[in-house]
Amino acid sequence: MSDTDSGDGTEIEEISGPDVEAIEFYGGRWMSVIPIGLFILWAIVQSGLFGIGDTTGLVAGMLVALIVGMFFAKGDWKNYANTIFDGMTKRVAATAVVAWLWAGMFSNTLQAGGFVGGLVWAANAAEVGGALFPAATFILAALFTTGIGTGYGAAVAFSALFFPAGILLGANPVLLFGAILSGAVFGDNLAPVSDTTIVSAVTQDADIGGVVASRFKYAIIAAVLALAAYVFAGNAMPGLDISQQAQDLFVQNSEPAGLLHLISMLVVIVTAVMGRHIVEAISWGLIVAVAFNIVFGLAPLSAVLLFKVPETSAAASWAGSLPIAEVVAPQNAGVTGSIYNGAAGFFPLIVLVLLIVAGSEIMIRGGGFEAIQEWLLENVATGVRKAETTMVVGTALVNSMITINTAAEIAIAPYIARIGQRYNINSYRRANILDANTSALGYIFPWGGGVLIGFATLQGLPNQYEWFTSAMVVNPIDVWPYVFHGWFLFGVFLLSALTGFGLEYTTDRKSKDVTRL
Amino acid sequence: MSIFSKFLTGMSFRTTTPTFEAGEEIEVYVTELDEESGELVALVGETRLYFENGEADIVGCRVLAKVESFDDAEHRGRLTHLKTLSRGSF
Repeated sequence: MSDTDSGDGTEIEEISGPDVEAIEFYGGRWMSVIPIGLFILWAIVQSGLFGIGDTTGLVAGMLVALIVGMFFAKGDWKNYANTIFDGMTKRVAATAVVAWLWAGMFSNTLQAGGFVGGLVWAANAAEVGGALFPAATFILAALFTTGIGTGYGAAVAFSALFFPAGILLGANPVLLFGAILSGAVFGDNLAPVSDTTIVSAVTQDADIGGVVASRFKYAIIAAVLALAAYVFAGNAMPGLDISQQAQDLFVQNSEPAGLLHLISMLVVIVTAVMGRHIVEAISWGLIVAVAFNIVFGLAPLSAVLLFKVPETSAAASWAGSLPIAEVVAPQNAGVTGSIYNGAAGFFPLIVLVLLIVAGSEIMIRGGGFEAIQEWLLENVATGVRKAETTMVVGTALVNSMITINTAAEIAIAPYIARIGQRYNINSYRRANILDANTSALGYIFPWGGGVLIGFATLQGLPNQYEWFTSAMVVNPIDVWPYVFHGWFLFGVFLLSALTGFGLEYTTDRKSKDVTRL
Repeated sequence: MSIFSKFLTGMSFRTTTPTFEAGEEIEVYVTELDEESGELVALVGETRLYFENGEADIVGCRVLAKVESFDDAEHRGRLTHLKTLSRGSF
């Protein structure tokens, strides 16, 4: 539809313009908000009220919401149905999907290679005690998440390994859990391969490398404050009185060789700085990670990819001799390994995001998007400072309500783009406001996805360690004041919006192509 | 721009009313059609830049424009639309 180009010869993606068929709704344009509105309601009830952090449950909610919305559409429903197709095939969604799949394979392969064990070993070698353990955990969780890009993965890995170790060393459990979540916030916000970073850059037409570099200043201010807070609170808040075994636990989980994967991370970062395509950069990191796993014995090839061939298969007689195959009982047949699991872990989120984009497209063509935007621009975002404050608070509120922060980010992204573009706020700044508040608020409240995933991991610890009682599991409702980095990051952006710190306009500098890191 | 400067750019408190020089070429999103003057306008922060040419269908688009004049005191300027680069996101 658009015959314009971006100035560098690339074609501009088709987006909803005046020549697409509008959808009319009974009750006016506000009724086109029903699919997304109903989904948000579903997400609040499912995650906030019932405490269920199941992404596929949210997929069911979005499907129901799309069906309900159809009954309010006037005329032939074919137009409504086609809009769902148009939304799901938008490039903005496809770009995020590709990035998640690659990032998922990479992060899972790093975990298979004992990267977390390497970090535990480093903490042990540095002789970190109970009072400083939360601060050290924050730093290591932040580094880990920045490398692998998934805060949820970090919340699981650190809750499983660092939490019991910290408890044994005398760290305060609530503070320790808060430090793990804070590290996840830091990495989710800053990592080039983080799903939220990718969504923030893609939706605001900015290159990922530039986005990461430009948000460093905000992240580091908040991180320094958070680190100081963990050092202070770590000394002020007592730990639990538990018997020894600390050293045993450390030795059990410590593999210094896992630190070799810092090089795998570096490969992605260096390739990124060289300006390579996201698929290429992460592919190189993945190849190096697999090679290190095999060459240095960190993990066998079967941990990366394994075909579980049923003994009833004609190939069963010879398949077992392959390094990536084993013969199993028919009921255990399947494919596994870090490449498989890393990609598969994103499948529910991918489907959910495609459906949310479809719901957003219905809202755009039905006029609901425009109605909300007009209301915001006329009543709230009436100047550049107020517009930025609206962007910060709006992103924070939506992320406070929806468990899966990436889904929340995609839902609010069009508003950030439109409100920001009205005042010609630079794409880097818009992406930074969007991602920081998405990352921060997704790990604070008890129904936040990161909190729920970490809590689920803690609940499994009494079955793994004899000394770990269920009383040591942190209640998610207790941890929200102690996710220091999340709170400081939100605070830094609120102050930035009110004072103009870090504000850049589109006329100040241009971003590069969005598919470049 | 060097990698180092990429990290440091924006470490300041930016005004709500940026200024421009006549003759400068800038990329801006076209904000709206001004109700009073009937002219296209691009808001950069709270600085108002009016277009001397261009059709109403470029509202929301990112365009290349040349600054013809700028009044520092009023934070107002006049632009010539040179080229439409892209539609705004979403």
